[in-house]
Amino acid sequence: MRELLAAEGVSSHHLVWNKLSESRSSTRLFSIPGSRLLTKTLGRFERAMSVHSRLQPSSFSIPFHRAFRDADVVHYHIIHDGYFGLNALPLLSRLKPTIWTWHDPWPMTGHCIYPLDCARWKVGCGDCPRLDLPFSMRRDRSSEEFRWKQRVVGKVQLDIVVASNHMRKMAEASPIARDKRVHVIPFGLDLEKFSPEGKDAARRRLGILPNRLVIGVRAFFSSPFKGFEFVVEALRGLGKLNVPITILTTHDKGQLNEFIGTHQIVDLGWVNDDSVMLDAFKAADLFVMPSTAEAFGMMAIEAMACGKPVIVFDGTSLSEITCAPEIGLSVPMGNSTALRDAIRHLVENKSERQFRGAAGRKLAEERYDDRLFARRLAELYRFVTADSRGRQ
Amino acid sequence: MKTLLLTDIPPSSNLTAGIVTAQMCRCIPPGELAIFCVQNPHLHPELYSDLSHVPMRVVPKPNELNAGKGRSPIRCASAILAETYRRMQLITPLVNQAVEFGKEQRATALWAILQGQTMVRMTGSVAQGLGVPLRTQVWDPLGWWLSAHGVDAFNTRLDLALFDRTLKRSVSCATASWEMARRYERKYGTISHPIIASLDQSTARKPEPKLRCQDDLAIGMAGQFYASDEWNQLAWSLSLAGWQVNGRKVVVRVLGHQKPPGVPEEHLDFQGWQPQTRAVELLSETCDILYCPYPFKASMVEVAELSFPSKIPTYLAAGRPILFHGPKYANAARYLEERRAGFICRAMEADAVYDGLLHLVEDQDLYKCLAEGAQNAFHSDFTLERLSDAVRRFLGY
Repeated sequence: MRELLAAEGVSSHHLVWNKLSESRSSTRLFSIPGSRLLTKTLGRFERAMSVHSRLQPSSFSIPFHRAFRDADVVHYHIIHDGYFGLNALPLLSRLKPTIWTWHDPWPMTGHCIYPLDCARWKVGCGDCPRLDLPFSMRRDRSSEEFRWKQRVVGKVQLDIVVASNHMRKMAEASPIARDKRVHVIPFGLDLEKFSPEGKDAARRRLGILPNRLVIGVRAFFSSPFKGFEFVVEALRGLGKLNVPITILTTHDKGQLNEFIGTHQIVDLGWVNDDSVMLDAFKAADLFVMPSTAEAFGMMAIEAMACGKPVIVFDGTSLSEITCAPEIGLSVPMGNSTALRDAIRHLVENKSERQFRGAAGRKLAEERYDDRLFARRLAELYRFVTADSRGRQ
Repeated sequence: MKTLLLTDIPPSSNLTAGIVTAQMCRCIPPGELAIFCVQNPHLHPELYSDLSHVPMRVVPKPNELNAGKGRSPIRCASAILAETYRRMQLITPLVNQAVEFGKEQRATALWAILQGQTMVRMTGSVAQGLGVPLRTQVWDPLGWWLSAHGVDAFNTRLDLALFDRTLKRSVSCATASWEMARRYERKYGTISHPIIASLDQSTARKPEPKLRCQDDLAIGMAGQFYASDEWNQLAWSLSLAGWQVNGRKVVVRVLGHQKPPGVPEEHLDFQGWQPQTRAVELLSETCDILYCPYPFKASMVEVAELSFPSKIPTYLAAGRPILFHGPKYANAARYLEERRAGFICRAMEADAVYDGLLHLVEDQDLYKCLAEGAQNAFHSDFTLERLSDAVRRFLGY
C-alpha cells in the first residue's frame, strides 16, 4: 500500500504491533522495555474482568512516536486486538485528525465481533445471549462495555471507514456510531497477481489429480462465523456427480476426513505463504464461502479476481461485494440444502462457471483494484486533513 | 593390512544393521578383518557361514537404556548417577579387551561403528590403545539415540562432545546418507562416504510398470515399524475410505517381525520376516505400491535429515513405485524426488497419505514413470558393486 499511496502523493508510515517485514517504513508500536509483558498481563486481567481493549496504557505513548508527530492524519486499523487501550483515542484524536477503519462490527457491540442474528447492539446490549462469541465474556458486562464504547467514541472527532454498504447500514443503525461520518471504501488487491492465468501450473504444484473439478473451501471449523459446518452438510448430500471432485481446503486440517475415499481431499492447512494461497485460488473451479457473518470478504474478491465463481450466504456483506445473484451465487443463510444445490449446479454447468468467473474478474477490475483503493484513501486523507484545518 | 571392526551388531542375516555390515565385510580381502563385537545380550544374531572364517570376539554390552523418563529430581539424579557409573566403571574393561584382541590380531586400522553411547565412549580409547588410524561409521545421529535411550542432559552433552572429537580424529567416515556425508565433511573436515544397504544386481526385479490387476491394490511394507504415527494415519485413512482406493479392494502385505496395528484381518497379509531375496520377490510380484513411513515429529528432524531408511534399496530393487510418507526435508524424500522413484507425501494427515495412493492408482503415467525411476535408481546407486567401491574407499584400499 505504501507505494500505491505514494503514487497518489501520500507518504505513509506504519506503526504496528507485530513487525513481520524488514521495511523501514514500518515500526513497532510500543518498543518500551517490558511493555509486551505488561500488555500480556493486563490482557489476562481484562479477560478475567470481562472487559476488552480497555486497560492497556501503552496507547498513551503513541504521541511520542516521531511518525505520529510528523503525520497530518492518523489512520487506525484493527486496534481492538487487545494491545491497544481505546481510552487513549480521545487524546490521540485531539492531537491528530483521526480515521478508524472498522474491520468488523466489534466497535458497535457490547463484546462480540459479529452479533450474528442478535439485534441487541442496536439498543445498548445487556442480557447477552452469546457470551461465548469472541471476544468472549465470563460474566455479562456487555451493557457496561457498550456504554463505555459509546462514551469513548462520542468524545472522539472521528471519520469511520467501512468496506461495505452492509457495514455502513450497521453503523447507521448503531447508537455508538451516531453522528459520525462513515465512508465506504472497499478493500483492494493486486489484480496482476490475482489473475485467472496459471491454473494448470497451480494444480500441479498443489498435487491435484488430472481431470478433477476443484471446489475451494475455507475450512475454518473453529470459527463460529465462517459457516464451515454448512459446507460439510452440503457435501454430505452431494451424491454422485458427473465429474470427479477435488476439495481444496485452507485453514484447519482434517475437517473433511469423512470424504476420504469419495473425493480427493487436499488440505493446505494454515497458509502463511502468499504464493500457496494464490495457487489455491487459481487451482479452484469454484469457491464456497458460506460465512454467517462478514464485514467485507477479502477471500471472495481474491477468488473473483482469479476468475472463480463464488457461492455465499445471504445476509452478510458477501452477497453485496460479490454482486449476487448476478455474479456471485447466494443462497439463504444457513440453508445447507440450498448450498448443496448451488454447488451441484455450478459443478454440472461449465458454461455458467465460466460466465460467472469472467464476470467476477470484471467486477474485481472495476471495484477492487488496489490502485483505486489507494486513490480513495488518498482522497479521504486530504478531505479529513482539510476539514480539520478548517475547523481550527 | 588388517582392520579391526568394533561394532555392537555382528554381520548377521536377521538384523538390518547386521546385513549391511556383512555386505561391507565381504568387500574386505580374506585374512584382513577381525571383529570385536560388544553385543546386546538380548539379541540373537544369525551369523553368515561365509564369514565364519573371520576372527571374532563377542563381549556383552552394558545396558544403555535408562528406564522411565521423567522430570522428578530423584529420577534425574538416579539417571545421571547410573550413566556416570557406566561411563567411569564399565568402559575401561571393554576398551582393554578390545585393545588386547586387536593386538592379538595385529590390527593396522580400526573401523568403528558409532551406534550408541557405549561404542562412542570406547572408540577413541581403542584407537589410541592400538595406535592405528581410525575409520568411523554412523548409522543414526547420536542425539536421537541418546534421547531414545533416556540419557540425561549432562551425559548427553559429554557424549555428543566425545562424538564430535571422535569424528574429527577419524581419517574417514562412512555415513548413512548423502546429506550426512555432506554435513560431516563440512563440520568435521573428515572425508565421508555414504554407505547404504545394497543388494546383488541379480535380486533386482523389473515388473511391468503398471498396477498388477484391475480389482485390488496391494500395499507392501517391509522391515521395522519406526514411524508408528505415520503408519496409523495410513491405516486410519484406509479405514475411512472403506479399505478401497478408487474402487480397488486394499490388501496390506507386511514383511517384518511385527504385525502392524490398525489393519483388519481380511485386509492384512502378514508374511513375517523374509530373507532379502524373497522379500524383493514378494514386493515385486505381489505388491503395487511400496509404503515407507518416516517421522514428521519435530524431535526427529535430525534423524529424517541425516538417516536413510534401509528398506528403500529393497523397495527400489523390487521395481515398484514407493509411497514415501515423510517430511520433505528427509534425505530419502530428496533422493526419491531427484530420481523420480517415489511419490512424496509431505503431510502426515490421513487425507494426505490417501491422496498419495490415489495419485499412484489414478495416474497411470505417473505410476509408470516412478516404477521405471525406481528400477533405474537401484542400478545406479544400490548394487553391491557400488557398495564395494564405497567401502573400499572408506577403508583406504
